[in-house]
Amino acid sequence: MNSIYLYNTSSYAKERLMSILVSDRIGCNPEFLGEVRTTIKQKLDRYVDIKESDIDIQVKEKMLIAYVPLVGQKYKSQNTQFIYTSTEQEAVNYESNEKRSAELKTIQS
Amino acid sequence: MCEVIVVTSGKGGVGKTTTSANIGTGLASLGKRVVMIDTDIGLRNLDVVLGLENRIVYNLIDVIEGNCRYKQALIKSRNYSNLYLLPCAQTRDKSAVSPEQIIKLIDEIREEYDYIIIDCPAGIEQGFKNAIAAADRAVIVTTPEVSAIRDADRIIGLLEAYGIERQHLIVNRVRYDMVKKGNMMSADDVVDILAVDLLGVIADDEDIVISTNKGEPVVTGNSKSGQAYMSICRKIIDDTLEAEDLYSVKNRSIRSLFRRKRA
Repeated sequence: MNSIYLYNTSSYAKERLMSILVSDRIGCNPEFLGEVRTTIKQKLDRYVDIKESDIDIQVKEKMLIAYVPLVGQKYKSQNTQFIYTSTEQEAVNYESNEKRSAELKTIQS
Repeated sequence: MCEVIVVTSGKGGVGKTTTSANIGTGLASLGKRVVMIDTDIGLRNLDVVLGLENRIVYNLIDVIEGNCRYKQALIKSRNYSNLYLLPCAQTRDKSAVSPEQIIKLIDEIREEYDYIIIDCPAGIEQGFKNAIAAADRAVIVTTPEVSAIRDADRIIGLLEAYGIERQHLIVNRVRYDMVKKGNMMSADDVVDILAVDLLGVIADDEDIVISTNKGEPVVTGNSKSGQAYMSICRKIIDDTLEAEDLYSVKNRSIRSLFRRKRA
């Protein structure tokens, strides 16, 4: 639960309800989401390392959103300007890790 | 012309029976001829809420099985001569009745009354199908809780699938102190989520518990909740009226401001 909602549980409830109702209405059950997860894993496997169990799928206001956290070597060796993480938190972690390793290097030298 | 209104919610314990009793009584006090039918076979309660539990002779099953005429089973209310209750059986289960039998019975009753209020059981099984079989419109009762709203949404979908397009919402058990602190969804939030026209809002009020203890619907008294139910009844009769929120703090402060100025 996000800390913004600590003092406003009603808007947290409303947001949760909205996403529950959309998935209820389109009848997307856990099996359907499992299939989507497997397909994403198969398709993205060529490019990046991902873990099927990490993929988080949500239905929000007529949109299907899939969060795909990246793991392993392929992720670091990607020589592109795109950051393949889908959540902001992942990107922040990645940046701070790099910063930390740079700091370590300066200390060692 | 007679209108058949089903009071339903999906989830149990949100106040269907209390709402049915108050809408029925309120409409009767506005001069309408009203029959209330309890379809919660095996778990009847509308008779207790109305304080008529000692007068039951025949019930819904007796009428449907032909043991008596429907007029023999109707119980007249203590306060209004134009208000009747058709109680249901306590010893049978919901499979004892079929939707076709309910439709046939209501077609017979509807000629002599203005409103027929059907108290629907919780759930979406046989009892629900029986209750909505003959309904022209639906009143959906919900509370500002995640589980009740989710069930209400399911019910709205089912009612549409059964061809009941006229649906109205009552948001029950609202605690205004919690809404103010941001810890409970307001009636507006619930309407936003469910996208159904609002009929009225009822607060989580002590008066309702007290009136149920006495077996007299709160609408007969002069409390705030009684007035809120009256406002709902007026909106049922005349759809063009605005839904009122009688408890809202904002309304009260504006009103008291005017009063002070006049004095």
